[in-house]
Amino acid sequence: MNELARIDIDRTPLGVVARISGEIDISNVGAVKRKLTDAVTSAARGLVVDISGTTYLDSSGVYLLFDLHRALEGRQQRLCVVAPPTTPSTRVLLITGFDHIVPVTSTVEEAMEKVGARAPTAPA
Amino acid sequence: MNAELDAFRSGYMAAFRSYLAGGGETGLESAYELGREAVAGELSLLELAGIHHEVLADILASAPKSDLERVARAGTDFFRESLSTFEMIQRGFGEAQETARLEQRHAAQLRGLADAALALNSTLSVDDMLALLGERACAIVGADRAAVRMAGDGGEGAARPVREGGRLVAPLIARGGRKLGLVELSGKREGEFTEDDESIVVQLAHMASVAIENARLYEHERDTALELQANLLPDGLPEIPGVEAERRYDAGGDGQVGGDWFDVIPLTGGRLGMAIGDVVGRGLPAAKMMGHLRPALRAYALEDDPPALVAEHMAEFVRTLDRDQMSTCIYAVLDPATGELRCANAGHPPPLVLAGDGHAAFLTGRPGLPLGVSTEHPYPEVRTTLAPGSTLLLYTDGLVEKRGEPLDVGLERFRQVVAGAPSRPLKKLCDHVLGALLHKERGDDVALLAVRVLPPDSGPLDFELAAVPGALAEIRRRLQAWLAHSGAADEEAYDIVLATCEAAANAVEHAYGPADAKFRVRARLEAGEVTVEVRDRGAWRDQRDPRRGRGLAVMRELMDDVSVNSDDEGTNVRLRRRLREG
Repeated sequence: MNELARIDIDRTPLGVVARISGEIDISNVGAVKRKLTDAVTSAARGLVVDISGTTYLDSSGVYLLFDLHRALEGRQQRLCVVAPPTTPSTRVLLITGFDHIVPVTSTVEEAMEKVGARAPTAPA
Repeated sequence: MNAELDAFRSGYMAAFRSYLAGGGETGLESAYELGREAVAGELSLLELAGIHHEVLADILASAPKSDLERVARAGTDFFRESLSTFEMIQRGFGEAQETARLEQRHAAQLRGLADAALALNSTLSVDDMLALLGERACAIVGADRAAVRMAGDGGEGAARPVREGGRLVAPLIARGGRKLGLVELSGKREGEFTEDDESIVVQLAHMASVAIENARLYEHERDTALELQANLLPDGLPEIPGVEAERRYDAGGDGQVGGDWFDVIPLTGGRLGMAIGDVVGRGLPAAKMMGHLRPALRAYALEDDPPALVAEHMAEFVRTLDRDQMSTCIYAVLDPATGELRCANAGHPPPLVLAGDGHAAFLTGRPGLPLGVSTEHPYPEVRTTLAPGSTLLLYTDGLVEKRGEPLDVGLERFRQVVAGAPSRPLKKLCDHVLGALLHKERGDDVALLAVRVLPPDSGPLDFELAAVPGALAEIRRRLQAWLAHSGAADEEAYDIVLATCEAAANAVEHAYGPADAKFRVRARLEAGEVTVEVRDRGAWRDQRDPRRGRGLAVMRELMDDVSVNSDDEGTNVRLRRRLREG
């Protein structure tokens, strides 16, 4: 991955949260995909990708998320994308109809619920 | 007014003043005593309410603006206390005279009347009072319908109460006997309107009349001052090449007129003078003072003196007015060609400079004294250079001050809001800042003047890059900067950049040709429409590739028009998007 984007992975017992800050285009989309795929352990219920801090996302980035969704589905795991309306990158998700296929939420908490993981503070 | 009432009024005034001065519980006891005294002296509830209104109006008229809300609230408490004793004693009479049922009902009506008096007392708008009057009258006597009509609007002809044919009409009569209008009730829920109903509605109508008259006087003064102020502030801003300017004024929530003022003055050599100020105090006197200051400043500014000297002239001018009034003021001169800014500050909050990259910092430097304090002290001049794309924000304290909070906190909040706001176009920045900082309880008025130095016209954009994935980030940076200069709003710029990069990504991924393939990006702005062309030296291999189709769909969604043309030379994608008006 080049310096365009940074990914912070947060592994909780129930799900993985990946926060992407910076820009995603064809120059780094492959590296981003590898990093996200590697982040999901087989034990996790699913993956939350938080693009609140992603300042640029093009259609190759949307494809990456589609591919990720399909791959996870095959493993009985779920993907949820955090993209609040104020984030510029949310626009391209709506234009491509991504939100009709993969759940998109405004907060990480909502996304954790969608992937079936309970919030860490709630009793297990 | 007879001597007894006069004496009671003075007593009421003294007790209320002492309560305001921090009497606390003892103060409220005196309100209770006044209530007893009123009953002993056979004052009617109406007379007590009338006296309260007069006393409160007197005190409000001379109270400092920062104290208005406290006085009004204290007035309500004090009045409630005096009414509570009044009501208890009234109820005592009732118990002796009426059957238990009637007494209970009447007591409830009196409570309703007392509540209505309080509500009317805390309302300042005539329209609200009329609505309140109808609503409360219905509730007190158990009627379904109320109509309140004002003289000149079908409300003439009622000099005395009427109770007949399922209707109850009570006149609204001002002090001095002038007929204001009438309140008419109908649809009594149980039986007919009684004598008690009539007496209580008449009392309510009397109370409302006093309140309505006061409110009308108040509204009249306020309208006069607002009109004066509207006439005194500039209608629009002059068009000055090389700058974009916006101004906002909000009269404030307490219904009074403030003394905020501002001006933008075209000077020789393409420069512009900018002024903002705040006359201490509110209401008609502040508006009048402002009416003196703005033209005076304009006259001094047109002499082309340096800002510090203009400030000195203004201090001298205010001294000659001999009005014992002060005003803060900033006067600044900007040369759009060089960005040079010279600024003198007479006790006003510091200007804020928003750089093109979103960084916001106050223009520091020791301010001089407010105008009207002294003519002995010179005004220091602060100089700086505003880079193209930078914005100077002048504002008044209403935007940054919150009661009970140090000024530093408010200034920092303002700075952060400006730094985090969408900055283009300037109009949007101003709307965002006001939207974020104007809170409802705010009484003070607010003025905001924003002036942006525009970069020199950069003309069309035209560059060539190697057709490699890493080139896309470079396109984004260059196109983003060009669009910002061309006046595109943030989200328009985002859309155009995204569409362009989708086209460029196609060129990179699917164009074939020599290893050192290049593509060319051109952008121009004509009559408010941006056209971007991305040209590569190859043909897109497979336009049916669903992924590329998706990129094209994104472009079509983001732009007004997309055309793709391939020939022997290569492929040219042309994207068009009309920019919204400024």
